[in-house]
Amino acid sequence: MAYLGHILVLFAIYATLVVSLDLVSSHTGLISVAHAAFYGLGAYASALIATRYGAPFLVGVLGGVVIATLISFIVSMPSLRLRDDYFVIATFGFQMILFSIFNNWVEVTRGALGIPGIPQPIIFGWNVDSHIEFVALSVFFGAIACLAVGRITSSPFGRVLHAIREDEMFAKALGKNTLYFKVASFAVSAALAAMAGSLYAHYTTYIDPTSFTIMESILILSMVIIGGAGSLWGSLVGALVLVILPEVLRFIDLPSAVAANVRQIIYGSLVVGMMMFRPRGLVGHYGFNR
Amino acid sequence: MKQVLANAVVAGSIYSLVALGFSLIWSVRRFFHFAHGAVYTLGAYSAYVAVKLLHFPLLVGVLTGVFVAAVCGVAMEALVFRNLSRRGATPAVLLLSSLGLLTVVQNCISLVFADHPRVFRAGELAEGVDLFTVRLTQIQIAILIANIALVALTWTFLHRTQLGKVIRAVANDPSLAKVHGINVDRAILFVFAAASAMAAIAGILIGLDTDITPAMGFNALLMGAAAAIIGGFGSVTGAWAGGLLVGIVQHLGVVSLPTEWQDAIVFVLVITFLIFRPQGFFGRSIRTAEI
Repeated sequence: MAYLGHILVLFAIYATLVVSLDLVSSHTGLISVAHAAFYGLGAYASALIATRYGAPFLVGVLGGVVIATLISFIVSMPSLRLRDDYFVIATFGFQMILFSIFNNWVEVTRGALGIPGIPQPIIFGWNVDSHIEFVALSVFFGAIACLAVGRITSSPFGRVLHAIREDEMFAKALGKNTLYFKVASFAVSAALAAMAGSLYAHYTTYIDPTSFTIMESILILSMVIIGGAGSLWGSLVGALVLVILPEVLRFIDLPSAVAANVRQIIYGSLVVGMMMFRPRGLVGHYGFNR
Repeated sequence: MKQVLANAVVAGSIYSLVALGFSLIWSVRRFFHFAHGAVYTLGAYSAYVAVKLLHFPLLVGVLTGVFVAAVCGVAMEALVFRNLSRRGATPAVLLLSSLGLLTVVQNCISLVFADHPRVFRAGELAEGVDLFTVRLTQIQIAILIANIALVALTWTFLHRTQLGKVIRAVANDPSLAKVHGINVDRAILFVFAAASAMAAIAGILIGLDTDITPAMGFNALLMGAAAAIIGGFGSVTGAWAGGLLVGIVQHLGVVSLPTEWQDAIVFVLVITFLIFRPQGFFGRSIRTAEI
């Protein structure tokens, strides 16, 4: 039961990450490989707020969301002058810089040692300490992310995002301030990722920089591609594949060192295979490949 | 200080070899070939297998590494990128596929050889020789020579031979080249082979100088990509100068900041360039770059 609970919590956290990246990468067409950095920002911000100042869980979540949103402006304002693959490279650079900060700003983040002893969440006197309660909380967070992204993408706001993805000049010609839309969708995506990060920090009670590397960013992006870009169900399927696959490999008794590599090989091949043979992903609407 | 500069130039020489291949591939296919880093690692590991496990002489090892890397690069182009391009894939899609290939190849290597560093050099740690008041190992000198030789060779090849002219035509405008009866696909294959071979040489040399790990290619690629962006895509001198500059910035930054910030400094520089001068130092404007 605890095992199943653990899988469900992981699934909810990754679903939040994948859904939020889907908003900016598939709906707005800005492919970002800095998502793990925002995830990390949320995790670090709320871990520090909780361990240093003993603030309650929700304050930590709010702190993470605010910081990630602010940093997202610093990333998106300059990067958004760039298009397509140049934007990818810029987010690549930001991911490396933010990782470097997590890893090297020892006075604040304790560097590679990580931050231990993050308290389990207490929300208005509700002490979340069992697996069941954690499942409820993380599914609630995941649902917030899905609702937010679903609502945004089906609104007039979302239609402008789609227009930007299809033809930015055209959106501009319609009098839309495309920069505003792009910055806003990037900020929402970063804020949701930070929320997932806070939850992760308080769930594992220990964080270190290795959870927020460029490889993690690529992994989250792979899930968007594999599940299906531009579709809420696609994101959920992608997250499910991500969470279930390691468990399947565990069942067929691979040694853990081998399993880690095999998992990565499967993800990599799936990404290339999807790009070549099924650009829409498993259940997606929109192919990157057109 | 002089020693720091010498080390910076050695590191920069490696980056510029990676950057040169990365930039050449960009010129003909117009995408960021991240799996180039995996090709680099594969070259180094193939040479390691030939020399250390099968006990061939070093020269055979180098040739094996170069050959395997070239085949791998060509296979990626022939099986993946060419098909994707034909279906009108955007550069971002090619980039994502290349990242997928990077993950696959790097993890296959780590699956076979495990993650711990392998020692590749023969015998004892080289003592090194004194050269203009700085101390360099023989391998480091070989790196400097290989860098100058390969950059000069590439430039001469592109500007003085028939095939070089063909490649420049393809880089300039693939459809126009096709109209003139040039076999575009074959020219691109050739570029992949040559770029991958250069990456393998860089990987083998760095392996002989320090040691090899499955992740080595990713780090080299990040710096090589930074060098190509700073130097300007599609320019041989740009890739060369960009590589040296990245090496120098990385090592000299350390004089005023702790070592661990090396990579961050380089990426701050890359982002500055992307925003204010996306064509780099030597590149022409992005849309119409040629070699």
